[in-house]
Amino acid sequence: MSDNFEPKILGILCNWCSYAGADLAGTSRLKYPANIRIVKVMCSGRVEPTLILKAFQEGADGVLISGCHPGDCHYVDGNIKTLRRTPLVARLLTQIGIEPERFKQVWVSASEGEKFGKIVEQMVEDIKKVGPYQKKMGDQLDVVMHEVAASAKEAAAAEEKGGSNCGS
Amino acid sequence: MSDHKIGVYVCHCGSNINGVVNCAKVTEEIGKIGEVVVAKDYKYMCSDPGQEMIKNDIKEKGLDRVVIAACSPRMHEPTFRRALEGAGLNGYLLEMANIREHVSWVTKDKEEATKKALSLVKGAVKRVKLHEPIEEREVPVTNTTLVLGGGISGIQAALQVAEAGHKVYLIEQKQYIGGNMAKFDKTFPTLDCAACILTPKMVDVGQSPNIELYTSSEVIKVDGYVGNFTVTVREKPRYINHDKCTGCGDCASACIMKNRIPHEFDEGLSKRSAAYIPFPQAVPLKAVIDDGNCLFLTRKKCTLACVKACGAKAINFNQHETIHEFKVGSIILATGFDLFDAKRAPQYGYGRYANVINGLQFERMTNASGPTSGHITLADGTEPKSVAVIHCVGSRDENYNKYCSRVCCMSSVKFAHLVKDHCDAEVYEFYIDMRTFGKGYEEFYNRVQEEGVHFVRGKGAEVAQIDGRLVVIAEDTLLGQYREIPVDMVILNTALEPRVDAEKVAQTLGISRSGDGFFMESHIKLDPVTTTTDGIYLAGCCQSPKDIPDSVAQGSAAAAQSLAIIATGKVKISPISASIDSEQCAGCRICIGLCTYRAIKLNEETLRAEINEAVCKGCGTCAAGCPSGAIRVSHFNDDQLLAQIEGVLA
Amino acid sequence: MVAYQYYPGCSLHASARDYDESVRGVLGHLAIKLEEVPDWNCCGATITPSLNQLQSQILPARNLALAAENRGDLVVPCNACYMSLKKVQHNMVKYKEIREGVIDIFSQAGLSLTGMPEVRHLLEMIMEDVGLAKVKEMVTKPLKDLKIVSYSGCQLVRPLGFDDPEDPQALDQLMEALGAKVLPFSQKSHCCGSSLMTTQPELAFKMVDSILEEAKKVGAEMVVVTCPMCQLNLDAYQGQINNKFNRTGQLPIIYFTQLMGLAMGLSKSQLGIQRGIVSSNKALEKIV
Repeated sequence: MSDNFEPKILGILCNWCSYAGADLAGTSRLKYPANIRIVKVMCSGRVEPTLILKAFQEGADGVLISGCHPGDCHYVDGNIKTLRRTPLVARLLTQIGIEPERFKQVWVSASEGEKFGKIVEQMVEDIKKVGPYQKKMGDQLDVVMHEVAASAKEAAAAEEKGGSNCGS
Repeated sequence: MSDHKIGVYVCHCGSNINGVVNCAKVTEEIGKIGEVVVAKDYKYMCSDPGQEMIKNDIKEKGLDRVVIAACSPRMHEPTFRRALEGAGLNGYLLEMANIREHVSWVTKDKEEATKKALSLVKGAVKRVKLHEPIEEREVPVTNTTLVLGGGISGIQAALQVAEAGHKVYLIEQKQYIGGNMAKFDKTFPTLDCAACILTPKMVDVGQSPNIELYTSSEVIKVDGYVGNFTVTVREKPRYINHDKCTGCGDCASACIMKNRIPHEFDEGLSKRSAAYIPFPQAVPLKAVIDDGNCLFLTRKKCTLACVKACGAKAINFNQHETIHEFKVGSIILATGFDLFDAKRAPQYGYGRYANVINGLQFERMTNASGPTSGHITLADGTEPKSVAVIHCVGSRDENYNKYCSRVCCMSSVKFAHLVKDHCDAEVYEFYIDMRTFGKGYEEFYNRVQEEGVHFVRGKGAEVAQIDGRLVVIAEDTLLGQYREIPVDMVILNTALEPRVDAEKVAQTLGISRSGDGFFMESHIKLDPVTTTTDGIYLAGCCQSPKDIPDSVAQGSAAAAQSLAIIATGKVKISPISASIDSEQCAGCRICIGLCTYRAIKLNEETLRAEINEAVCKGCGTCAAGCPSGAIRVSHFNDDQLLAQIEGVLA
Repeated sequence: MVAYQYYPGCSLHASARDYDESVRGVLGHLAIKLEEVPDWNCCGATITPSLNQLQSQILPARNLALAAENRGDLVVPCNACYMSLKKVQHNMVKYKEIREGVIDIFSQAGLSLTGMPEVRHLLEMIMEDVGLAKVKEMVTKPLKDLKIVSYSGCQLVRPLGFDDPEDPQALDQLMEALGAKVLPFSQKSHCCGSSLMTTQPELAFKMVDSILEEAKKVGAEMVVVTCPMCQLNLDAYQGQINNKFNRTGQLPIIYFTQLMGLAMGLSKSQLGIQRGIVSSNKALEKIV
């Protein structure tokens, strides 16, 4: 890995808490690394594994998912579903050779601008240590990604149907 | 590839964006993309000329998609949607790239910032191609309002909505309305008596045909959405038949617990009975029986002297709690504050030394109908010869609350004046900074300085008892000296804090709280009354500490918001919702369990899931869980999100 | 056996040998191993900070560097050493320029910094790692009817300490676990005057007097301390203070580890109890 490696991070943030929290970091003029690209969803519960895999497929070095704190979800408990999905997604990513440093799921409220900046800072630092994400699957990547996405959905679905036995 | 005509507009926001992001370069780069037919940067895109420019381009160049790179969509998305609609384009054919809050304001390096801005705009361009026109849904509005909290802000809001001719349900947790203001004696800066200005309003509430008042009540559940809330309220029993009680107080005099229970309204400075009337001007002026202390209710053993004493036969020990359900169009939250418990700052000796009291206790003491009939007295009944007032107890302090409680400087100055007025003692004020910012406030401060009050600039560090005398220890930062000032009485002017149940209330209503624990407004400057949940408004100290003038102003503002909804007769609700493609649905029912709102049902005939769009809130959790990919969330569908991800990472 | 690194500090090898004896006695009894940091030096508590900020970091930093070469948290029994080491540890982690400055000076002296141990006060370690439940279990002779006030001192709780700075709770809880009757005490975290006792004794006397008078007023039979400096100041000058302020009576000042030892059945001599200047024999009559 080269010294001036700048990781590219995709942030998927819920509209009500985390996106507002990132906005607050802005209004408070807090500086944090420019490595993150933020995409908004209405609820962190909307984040399906495909979106995360897509990011890695498109060359992201890390993915950050952020929602409201448990108990504060604008949609009552969408974030609880995120909480249940996270360990599954994390396990899946490790299985396909993506280092755990590259995927992070956090809670950031609308008032936690400072916390958001710190999380990004930390994540950039952590990913710099593991280096750029290598597409290990070569030409087969698209096929693998497709299969993985399908199986991830299935696993998540089975989990949601079967209860909260996350195995994390 | 379908060929769209996309217009991209990059806003400088003065120097807010352009000072860091090279807007011209972003515009130039983005203009190179095939389907981008217009790419422009401009000083203020949200200004009239900015909006006109966009509208003209839509009309003249036939744009069918628009990307605006500017501030957060939370700020101006509605503005630009209206602009698109003004030019005949559906508002949802717009995508905003947040290059201010998420780029220029958080990035130091200009090159990095420009690169990041360009990525976000590219993502927006990719996404906007897949946007579809969406019609906003409109629903009719219930023309009633629920006001939660009967302090001065809640009273103000309730009265204004009621005066406009609309029904208000006023819910108060305590047995009376008036809140903390009812406990005050004089109010700054004009020194009107609190009762004189508040009592008429309380009486109006009691008499208004449009206000239904529920005391001893709390909200336990809120369903629905703006214009159509269903609120469930639990009313605790008072064990008094309201219709019969005349408020004579005979039960209180007869109660065998008389003078044995610390009276909350007097902040513990007096004792009451188990059956009592909270205070002489209480609205409603009805007795209440305290089930935590009534011997009959706790132990089933009592002579029932109250029942014998009550000429109106109003006492009813068989009362139970009642559950009410109200349909309302909007909710005004005015739940007020809690006073910081001075025992949490043990250095000031509150609870340890009898003559260390808090501000509210001093208010009760100076109140003519209070426990000492308006006399300022020490624990032994004598008048103090010197009094210290310590500011910022629990405020502006890393250990407790970082914020300034805003009212304490002025109330401290008022205390000093009242001490001078009542017993002419020496008064020492220990302050960090004097903050007398309101209309007539600085003048009042000057007046009290001239009355001979000693102002010591330095936060009181400690209250000690040395050789039997209270001593305030402080560093006088003007003299540059350590001082020990002996006094007879210390008034701790404590912080205003979020109410202890604020978290529960926030969860029940589905609103956010800011870092300090108070309820959070949509925008601290431009939208300080609305919450992030449509149809729920804030008034008074539940949003942040404030004085009476500000609380009243915010109460009126919240009332105006409620009345605006009623006047419109209908509200737009978010059109974002999920739908199911029955061809792809396998009927596995996973989505049904995922939906908190029970919006998804299985069609028993087709064995496919169906979504009731009126109930769906559009969170998209079901779509993320659907193994067949049969669920589409409008404006947040898979293709749109994937395209945006592709764009921002390119 | 759980092992910790032990930084006794100068006092525990000299004026506060009783503290050292009781620490070793009690921790041995709890099967906790202490490994003294080899070749430790002065913690740098009071001497240099006002002269040169960077240089004042060097003395404590050297102790941290030595400790970093071994494993385990660094346990410190003295409040002054604790604050001094903790502060430097905090500075080194938080401020890049201090960290680099220290490393630079180290390299000139042939020292290296291989890590950064956690700095913990002995009381903190007992409360968090041993736990009150275990302490209660080990008590064989509860300190029944012994009326004490707990005096944590200021450096244990400020500015980086582990307990409430105005109303510390840990020592109260520990003493209650031993069966003592803990009296309410408003002077828990007041300053004992520290080294002002040698430079401005008039001022220090006044500070000690306010602590002792409050303790007497609430009816304490002893004052329990966590620091050799506090112990010395409160213990050694009671005669002079009584003369100066017209006070009567004397109060024994005892280390919390000494009371732990007694409650766990260790002997007075194992715990160095005879070394106190104001004798605690009378106060301890009913339990020993």
